[in-house]
Amino acid sequence: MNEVMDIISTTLSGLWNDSGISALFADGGWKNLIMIGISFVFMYLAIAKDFEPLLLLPISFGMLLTNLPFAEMYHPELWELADGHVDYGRVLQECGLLDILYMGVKLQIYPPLIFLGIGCMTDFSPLIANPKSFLLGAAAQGGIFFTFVCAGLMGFTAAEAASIAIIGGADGPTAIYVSSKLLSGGGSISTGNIALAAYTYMALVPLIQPPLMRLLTTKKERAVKMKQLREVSKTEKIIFPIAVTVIISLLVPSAAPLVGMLMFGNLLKETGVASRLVDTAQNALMNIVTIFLGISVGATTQADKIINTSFAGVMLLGVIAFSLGTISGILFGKIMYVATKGKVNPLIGSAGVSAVPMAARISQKVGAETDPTNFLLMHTMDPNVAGVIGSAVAAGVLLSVIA
Amino acid sequence: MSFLPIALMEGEKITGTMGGNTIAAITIIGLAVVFAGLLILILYLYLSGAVFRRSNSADHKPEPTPKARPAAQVAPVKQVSKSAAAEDESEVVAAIMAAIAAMGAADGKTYRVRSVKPVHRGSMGRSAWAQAGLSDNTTPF
Repeated sequence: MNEVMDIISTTLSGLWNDSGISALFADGGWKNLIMIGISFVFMYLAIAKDFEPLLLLPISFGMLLTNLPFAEMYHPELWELADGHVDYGRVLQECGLLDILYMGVKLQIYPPLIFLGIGCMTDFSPLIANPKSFLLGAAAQGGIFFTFVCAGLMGFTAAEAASIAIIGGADGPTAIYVSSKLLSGGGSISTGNIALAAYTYMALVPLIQPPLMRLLTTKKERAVKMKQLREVSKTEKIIFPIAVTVIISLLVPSAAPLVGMLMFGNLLKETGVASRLVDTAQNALMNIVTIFLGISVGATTQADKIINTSFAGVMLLGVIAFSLGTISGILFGKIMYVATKGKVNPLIGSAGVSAVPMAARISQKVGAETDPTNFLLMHTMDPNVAGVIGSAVAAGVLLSVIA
Repeated sequence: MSFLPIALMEGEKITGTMGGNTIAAITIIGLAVVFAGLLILILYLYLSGAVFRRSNSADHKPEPTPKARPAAQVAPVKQVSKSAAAEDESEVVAAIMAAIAAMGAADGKTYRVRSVKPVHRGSMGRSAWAQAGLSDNTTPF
């Protein structure tokens, strides 16, 4: 009888030691518990508050999976190597499901594919009709470079500072693209940190931008009604993506994967001869890649990578980056207001931070608060899509000078 | 150009922590390249816009009216289009009136059209229908 009891107790003890529950109560297990709690908060925000649910839900679930002890779905030791060189043979032998999906992030495959889908969904005709909006898209990238200065002065390495700064572009795929390329070693911050900060602040755009917009503009400026845009011919719309690809890729070759795929998607849409491809790129492919990107980025948010002072620094600099981008855009909008003798509403400047179409909606909403008969949406889309191109160019510049 | 850090001057990529000069150089170069790239695109769009507008206006130039065209032929066309427009308007008025009558029928009230006058739009710059359509499309945002 005693022997049976011994076997039962040994087996139960083995089961307990192998269970994730025991690991949660072991050394450092509290960090996993906190991360699981954070993943629940993000799930709540995505489901109940509708905060970027298409991305926040996969990210938060990836965060949950990766912080469950012994689940072995993602292995940071395969990716975060001191010399930065990943042994893909070893990855294939020792990987979990999320490691396989993470290859699309590490090899910079997902962000350009997301840009392909975005290109299929974007109408550049307001920008073609009103090219000076490009200036607002460029000005809003000031947030990236001013944050780069702050991060550099705070002692982050060049690669870390660039990855944090790109959050100011308010463009999730671009932030993931840059950080996955630059953060190859076992540094204090990861791609997951950057993605988490970027998407958190993108979801909080409706809270961050309006107070700054009201603070920096007068009622008279917010009430400006902008002139209706000219009609753009189909030929112009077809030539535009080709011209942008050639010009930007020749100027900043590192931006070619993002800008090239964005413009390829747009070319497919505008030609009207490849409707099946457009349908796949903007629906099925986009959705598949979004799931893979979200869940694998979520997997990189392991407790040790999030619960530290560096991540607090990333979050702090992230909100600074967003705010500076918004401020730069609005201030440039005010310059254009003066230069055009009151024909440009400065509110459209804040849409220069990409965050398509959220930032454009916010400009429309704040404009309509001042005058309900003022419809800025078409005009806010100009700097908004210009911001996408601008942040891709800024990313290309950072990638070409920083390793 | 001693302002530029050695790595940037030699075309090497920057690694590790950065000094003040490196940070300033990357920031200035970055902003300059972003503005330069987008300025080139603006220039391209203005040039192509001018070309397309010119070719579009050439395509849409009205054909000169033949001198020998008899005036009698033009007059009936004008009359037809005028009366068609009036018919369209009265149809719209009738449809709106029918809707109001249906609404009033529930309370046992009857309504009569006394006059139909165009409303001065003031500063709105668009018709009530266009205004309602715009509100419909933008309110969800």
